[in-house]
Amino acid sequence: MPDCLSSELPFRLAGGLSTGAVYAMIALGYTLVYGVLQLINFAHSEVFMLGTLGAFLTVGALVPDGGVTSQTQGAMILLAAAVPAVILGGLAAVALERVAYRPLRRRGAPRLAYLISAIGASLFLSNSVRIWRGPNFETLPRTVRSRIVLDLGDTFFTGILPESMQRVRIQNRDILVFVVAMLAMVAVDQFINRSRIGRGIRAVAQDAETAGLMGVNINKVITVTFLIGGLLAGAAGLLFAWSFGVTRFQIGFLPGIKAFTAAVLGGIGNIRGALLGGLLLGVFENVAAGCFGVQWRDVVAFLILVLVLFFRPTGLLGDKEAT
Amino acid sequence: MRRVRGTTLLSLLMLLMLILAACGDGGNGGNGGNGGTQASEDCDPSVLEPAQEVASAAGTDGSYKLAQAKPDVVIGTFGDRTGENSQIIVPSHNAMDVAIRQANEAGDLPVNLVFRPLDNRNGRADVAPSIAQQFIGDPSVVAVLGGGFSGETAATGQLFSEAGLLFFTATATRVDLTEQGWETFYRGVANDNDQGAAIIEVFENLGCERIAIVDDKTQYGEGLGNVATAQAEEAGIDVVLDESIEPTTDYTALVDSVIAADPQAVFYAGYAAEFQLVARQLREKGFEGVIASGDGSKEEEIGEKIGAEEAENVLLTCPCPDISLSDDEDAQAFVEAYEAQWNQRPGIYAGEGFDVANATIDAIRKCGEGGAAAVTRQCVVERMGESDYEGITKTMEFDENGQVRTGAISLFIVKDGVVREVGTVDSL
Repeated sequence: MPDCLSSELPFRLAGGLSTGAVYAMIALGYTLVYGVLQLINFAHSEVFMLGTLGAFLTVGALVPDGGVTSQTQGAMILLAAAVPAVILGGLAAVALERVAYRPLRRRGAPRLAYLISAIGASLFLSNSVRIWRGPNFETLPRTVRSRIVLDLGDTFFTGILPESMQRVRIQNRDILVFVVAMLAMVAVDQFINRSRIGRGIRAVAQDAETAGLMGVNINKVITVTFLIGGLLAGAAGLLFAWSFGVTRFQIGFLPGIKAFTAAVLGGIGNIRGALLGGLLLGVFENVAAGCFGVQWRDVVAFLILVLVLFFRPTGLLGDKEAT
Repeated sequence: MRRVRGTTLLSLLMLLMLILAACGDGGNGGNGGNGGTQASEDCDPSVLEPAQEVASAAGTDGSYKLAQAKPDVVIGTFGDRTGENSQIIVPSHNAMDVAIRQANEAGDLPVNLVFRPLDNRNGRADVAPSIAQQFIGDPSVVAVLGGGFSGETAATGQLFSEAGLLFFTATATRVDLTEQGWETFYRGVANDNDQGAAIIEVFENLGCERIAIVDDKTQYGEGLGNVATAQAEEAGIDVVLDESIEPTTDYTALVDSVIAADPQAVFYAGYAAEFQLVARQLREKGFEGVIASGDGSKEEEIGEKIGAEEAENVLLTCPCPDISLSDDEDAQAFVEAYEAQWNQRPGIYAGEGFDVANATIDAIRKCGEGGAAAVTRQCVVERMGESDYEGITKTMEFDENGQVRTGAISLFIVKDGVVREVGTVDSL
């Protein structure tokens, strides 16, 4: 058996879950909107990008001139930056719905018009940021240093864990990203299944016309759907910008494509599917990089997507449990 | 209704006739007024008298030569002036500007040099040919000093060669650029053969036996990576990982592959923006070995960008010694002039840019001995082939392919966030 599937597997899984958690958080936005409107919101990647930008601006404003002096101070600043970054994501998504989609909905435009509007909004947002902030990477000041918090290679674990496990090194960012993604998924899942608006969202997802006739405020439901997706993308943007220390106008493109893929892999319209798809895609990519080389990472990830769709066209968990 | 339409048509017809009549009158009147100037009626340009002839007639003792403006001759260049790796290109352009300004101020050329740097953001190979055509289409352009990056240089070398226009790079280091048979191409800097060999020599000196080589799939990165791999095999160093990557932000997969291969050193062949992300993520994941890269990643702000702790002991090679550290008087004079003009110390490839510009100016000067009209594209290319110009970094003498004969590779190390020169790799 190749190393990537044996001795390397434990730490490739760990790295893949961390990458996949970010995909999952963005994928939730795609899947929620699809569940309600049957629309792929291609501008969602720019909402994520705005989240990274919001993090950059707020962290930049909050970090003192000489830099942070302790991890605790850094953590406080990161937490404070989270609020505006997440809110910016939510507001951007709501604004997007108002400007790019609602006018089309009022006029009963065909599906293709939504798609064109989504791509147009995406280009508009990314290029606006490019004009405003310039084309290059901008570096976030340090807040919490990304460090290894769990090294299974420590002598403590010698003899306890198999040798392959001892190469696993978990960073604080891996844990944070993974925990936030899980919490977000659970929160959204509970919100959709238990709250009044959540019921409205499910109703609109099943049959918008009937839901409207039964007194559900469709516009409100759609706005809330976009808001939730935007908040999650904002949070993902913050975590991403903090993890890698940079932002720029194009930063949302690749994670956006991957998250869309994750949503389709898990079953578009299915919240749990988005999480599963995100995590699986992250793991597939990382294991594929080990087996075939880093440059084959995306090829293998998309090949697996094609194969899954070939045998399960509605994704792994299916799209029946729409939102 | 029909009656109204008929009246309207009649009115319009009358209006049209009136307008035609008025035009006719005006034309006749005009001709009548100029009746004495037969030539203007025949559209003959000989009635126009050249202003210069009048001036020549006024003075026959040569005094007008001083008063006459020298003809403009353009030296162009193009490269990434605003993109994310522009720090590699801008200092050489600035240095060319210094050289051209100094040449104009010296006043011993029969022509006035005009510097025209054009931006090819991110050094895009698909955009470069249209920039090249702008230079080729302008007859006043007698030399183009790069091609900043190897990709854009590779995309345009043939065009310049066909146009007979000198194409002289100070920064593009991919080996095979001088092997394409381009007749007008020269390179004033050591190539990636030298740089690839140098980094492997550094690893050998440090006692690294297991290394990883990662390239970014660009013309430059792939070329340098291949040279380094070949050199490592020749030197008996085990290349435990040889990867090519697409530029992205999250390099988890690459970092995990490096950790899995467990090399003592990683050499990244590519540009600064991606290298910094890779280096930072490697360090954060606990990679403690040597991290090294080439000239494409040499950026003064690396400590600020990825953190002084993560950047500590990062090694960078470059065929560009820090000109500020040179003892040479001319080099010091250049550093002073550069700082006076640009308010900053000369960055990467500034010395090379200065030499490339001055070697070109030297060729123009030799051509200009036959008068301003002798400063032609063909003459400049021919003179460049015979060049023995002694610059501040090296003597600009070329082999049959246009590759400068000398050029050592310098090694730099990051200490406390600052990029500092260790010395030339030969002298280690």
